[in-house]
Amino acid sequence: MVNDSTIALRNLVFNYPGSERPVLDGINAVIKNGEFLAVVGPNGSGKSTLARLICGLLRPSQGQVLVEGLCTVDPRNRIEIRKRVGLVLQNPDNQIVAVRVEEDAAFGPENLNLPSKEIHYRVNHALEQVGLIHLKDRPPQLLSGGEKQRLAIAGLLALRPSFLVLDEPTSMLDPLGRRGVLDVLRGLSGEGMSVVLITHNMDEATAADRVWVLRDGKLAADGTPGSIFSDPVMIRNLELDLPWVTRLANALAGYGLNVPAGIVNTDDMVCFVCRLFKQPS
Amino acid sequence: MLNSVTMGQYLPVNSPVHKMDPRAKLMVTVLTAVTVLVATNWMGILTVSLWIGLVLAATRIRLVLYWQIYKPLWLLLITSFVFQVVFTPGEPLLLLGLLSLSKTGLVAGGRMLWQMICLLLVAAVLTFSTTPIQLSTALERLLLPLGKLKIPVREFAMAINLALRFVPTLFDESRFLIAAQRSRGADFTRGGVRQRAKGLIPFLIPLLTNIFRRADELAVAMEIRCYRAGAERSTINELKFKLPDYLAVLANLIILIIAL
Repeated sequence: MVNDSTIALRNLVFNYPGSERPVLDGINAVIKNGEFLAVVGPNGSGKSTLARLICGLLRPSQGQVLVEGLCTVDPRNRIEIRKRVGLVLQNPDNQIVAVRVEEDAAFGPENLNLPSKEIHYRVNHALEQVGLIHLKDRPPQLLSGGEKQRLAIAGLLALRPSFLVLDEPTSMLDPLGRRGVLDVLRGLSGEGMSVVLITHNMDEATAADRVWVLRDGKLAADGTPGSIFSDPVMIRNLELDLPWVTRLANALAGYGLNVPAGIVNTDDMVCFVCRLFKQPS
Repeated sequence: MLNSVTMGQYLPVNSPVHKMDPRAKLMVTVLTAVTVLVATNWMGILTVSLWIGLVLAATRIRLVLYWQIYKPLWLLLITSFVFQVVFTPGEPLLLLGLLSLSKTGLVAGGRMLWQMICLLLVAAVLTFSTTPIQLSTALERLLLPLGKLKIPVREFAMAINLALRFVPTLFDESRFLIAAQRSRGADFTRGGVRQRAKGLIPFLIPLLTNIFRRADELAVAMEIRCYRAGAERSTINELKFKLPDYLAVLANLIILIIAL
């Protein structure tokens, strides 16, 4: 049964031409509408390939990807899929096409041949969503890396997608830019946008509702950040780095404190520590 | 350097000329240039001169800045004036040794000098008041009918705009690469021509590979934002001919007729 507002991966296999070893090997999963999904895994585990398959930039070798019921292989679906799924790339500089922020955000709707009034409306809204409206007359090369990535997000939001896929969007950013991008993603997720964040930073993954762990082209784990990062066996087997909150929780447990399992984000940790201090010793 | 390429000679001033539709500016520039070249009667020369003066005033750009475009060219202007005067046959007014100055020569030389000065001014008005991107958009729109002859006007314009967009990025990158290779002991300043050219290889190869990588990612980013070569596109800021644009083109047509 295909739910119409999901991305369904069915027995997905992909190998690059001329290579024997599949990059992705038999993935069956569904990305639900409105969820914030983080995809983690070591280098070469097929994360970026997965992103490109979801957007229909690559065609599966076997199996299929269905975006809201549309098969990515069919060329007639191409534009409809592009409208539904946006992709942000790693390098902030290479995604900018125009010499003014506003015009860059307008590139997508311009390609759809929308009337100027509609484009203005969409662009203003998108720039507001990412907090760049005050810079709309600026040349993009004067923006910081984080602002450029937010501009790339705005350029996709102007196409009104249902899914936003980001391929390591923060790996070239400084901590401040990284936080800015993550705040925007959390905001969008709160407004009901489906976000697929591909990352090698486990602290970013804890912001998601759900985490996929890719390993050797297979979906090795799928669950909430709490259930994945608090399972020591899984962590060891998958050779994952731990988010710093989990490391702190483990260290506290080492001192004999009774830390509840599944603490992965800062808010929960702060709550726990506060409760700890309130307790009469 | 960064600005000189992407912005051309654009001077951001809030003037009626800056606000004009770039298509109208392009048309006026061509019309004025034609008028300057064909004007033979005094009436025509006078009206075109007045017209150019009026346009200059309307740009609200200080005249000193216009004067600067002649600085590298004045020698050329004077030389061509002298040649024109000396080598135009006619009844001599004055004899300087072997050289003779005639009235027709002086008139021909003066007219040519006036034409060159006017053409340079007209070109300066256009580049001072219009960004390269506006210019390429205007050209695209004006040449769009050529699309019917299967000439990909829109795609050419997109390519030019993207090139302009990437100039500052690549400029930054080349500075970065030079610094990186210097820190590894590369020397770009010593040796003969051949040695220096050889020394550029460790700078050019990474620059080239990076350009290809960037182009590849840019293509993906454009494709994901629904770009299709050859497809109809709209623009966020639609160019619009307003009253001043019509008036400027009309005025120029009248001047052309006077000058003919």
